[in-house]
Amino acid sequence: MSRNPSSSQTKNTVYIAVFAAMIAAMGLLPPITLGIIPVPITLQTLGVMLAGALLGPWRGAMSSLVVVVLAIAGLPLLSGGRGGLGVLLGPTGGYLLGWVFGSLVIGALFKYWVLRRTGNTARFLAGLASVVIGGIGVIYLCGVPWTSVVTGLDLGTSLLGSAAFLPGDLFKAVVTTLVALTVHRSYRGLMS
Amino acid sequence: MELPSIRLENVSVRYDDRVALRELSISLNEQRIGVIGANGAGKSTLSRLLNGLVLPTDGTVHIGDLNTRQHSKQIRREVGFVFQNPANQIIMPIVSDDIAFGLKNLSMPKSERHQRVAQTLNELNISHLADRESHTLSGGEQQMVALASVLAMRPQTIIFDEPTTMLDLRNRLAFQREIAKLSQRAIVVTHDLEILEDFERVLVITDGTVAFDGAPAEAIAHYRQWSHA
Amino acid sequence: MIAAANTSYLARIRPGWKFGALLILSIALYLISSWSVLLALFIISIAILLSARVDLRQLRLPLISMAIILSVVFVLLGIQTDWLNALRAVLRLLTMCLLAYAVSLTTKFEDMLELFQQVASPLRLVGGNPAQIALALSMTIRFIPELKKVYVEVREAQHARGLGNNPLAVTVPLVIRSLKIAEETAEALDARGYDSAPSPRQH
Repeated sequence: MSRNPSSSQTKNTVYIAVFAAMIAAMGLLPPITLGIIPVPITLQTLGVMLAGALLGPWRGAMSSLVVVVLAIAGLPLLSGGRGGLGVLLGPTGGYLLGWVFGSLVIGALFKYWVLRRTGNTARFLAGLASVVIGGIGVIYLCGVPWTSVVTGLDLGTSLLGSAAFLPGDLFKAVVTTLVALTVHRSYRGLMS
Repeated sequence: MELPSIRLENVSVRYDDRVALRELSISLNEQRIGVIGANGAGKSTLSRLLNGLVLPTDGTVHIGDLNTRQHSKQIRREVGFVFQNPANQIIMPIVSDDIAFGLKNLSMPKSERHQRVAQTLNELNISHLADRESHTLSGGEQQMVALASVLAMRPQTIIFDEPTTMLDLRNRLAFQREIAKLSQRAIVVTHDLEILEDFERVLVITDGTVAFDGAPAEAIAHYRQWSHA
Repeated sequence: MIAAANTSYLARIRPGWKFGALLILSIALYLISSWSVLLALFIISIAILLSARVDLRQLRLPLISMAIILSVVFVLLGIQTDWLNALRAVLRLLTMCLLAYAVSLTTKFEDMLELFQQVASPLRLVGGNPAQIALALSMTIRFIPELKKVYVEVREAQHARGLGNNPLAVTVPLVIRSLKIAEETAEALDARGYDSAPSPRQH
């Protein structure tokens, strides 16, 4: 039984579009409130992390890029119904770029490292590390300097400002890892 | 118009863990053919063999002179496919763009596309849906749009894989009527036995083989009996 | 934030020009250190936005949240450096923000997208496929309301089991259903004979 190569390209395009839509949808609904964390967490970055963890580096990054492009072009896709050029040029603009690189890094780590590990604990730890590196490290690395450049605040202050979101993001990283590993178990060939 | 003969020669379809269809050799020439059987029996696989979505592990599938292994592009132009889930066949935000999609791929000039889309919508009495956003359509409307997108390509044959399973009764009946009106050949895989009343030929698929092949009434009786066992 | 049909003179200027002007002005703002010039530019930006005849009610919430963020920035900068510096920073941000809105709200979404695709067209040289990109963008727009529905359904279903606020209980079904939608849609596209031009990349 064979599949022709052009149909894999079609499949990739569809996966990218559907996941981009999922990331957008996750930003459109009210945030989830957990007892422990004071700030209600939006699931949108969760979607960004998942895109990388489930679709791999290239498709995951493309999904995030599609959302960013559509949002900047004017669709109110970012949490809070935001959109337009102002978001890119404003203090949080760097984070948008961070989404693309974040998905890329998470995807690469999952594809070439996490999924090659055996044993549930090893996989979970590798997965969590990957999501933290890509979903928090890389994203903040893109977002924080941009905030400094745009506002004039020094890096330390900008970093401190983003620290408020750290607990929520760490929580999301755990959720992403658990969800991604669960799904990969039922969908063996998702990233080969 | 002479319909090309659909021929399956010694066709088997095997997946890693099971056999979906075994050694099927049949010729399909009628205008209205039905395919019924239990879930997992092989009906969906059979339907997908006919437009090349699935290629046989053994054997060959011919639509006229075209071979599904070598001529998949041409075959997909001549054989349309309507799926079970109405929503996941529409890919454009606006209905008319979705119907025009296949035509755009053929590099049809804009004015001709407009005409073809308008004509097709008219034939199915859904011209009022032209500018609607896809997500606002009901299940029945979506399935009609899916059919329109297929019809716009002017295929000779249309395969339906359980087209009414996800629709309510009213929409089921409406869709039945549309299938009956089609001038194209229709091969319908279905659980909805009422669709098949005026069909010429019905196949009953059981465990990857054709358990019965003949007139609708008898096929249905056979299937009912088998289902009660 | 989709530009409702805008009738001002700004709507008639080509998006490329507006976008380019915005970028140049934004860079210029950072090269200017005179607070009086920045103030003047800020006032001009208000004038431009008002003359654009946009529906200001749309901007109420975003401007309020902007105001909050900017007050924080103002205070922090004032304490860390000096108040004049803080004023400059806030004027810059406000001016950029207002000008960005003036552009976004007077440019049709489709025109913006087309502009981006034109800007990205050199990517064709590294294997990007413009038809695929256009399809991906349209399909995403098509599926956003659909996936929103799925998200709501999943959340409600889990809510009925007392798990409505459990991110795991909500995300796994959402992802699985999204994957199913992707698979079925890819099959339908395949059946429509969609022939994506072969790309040299292997994914």
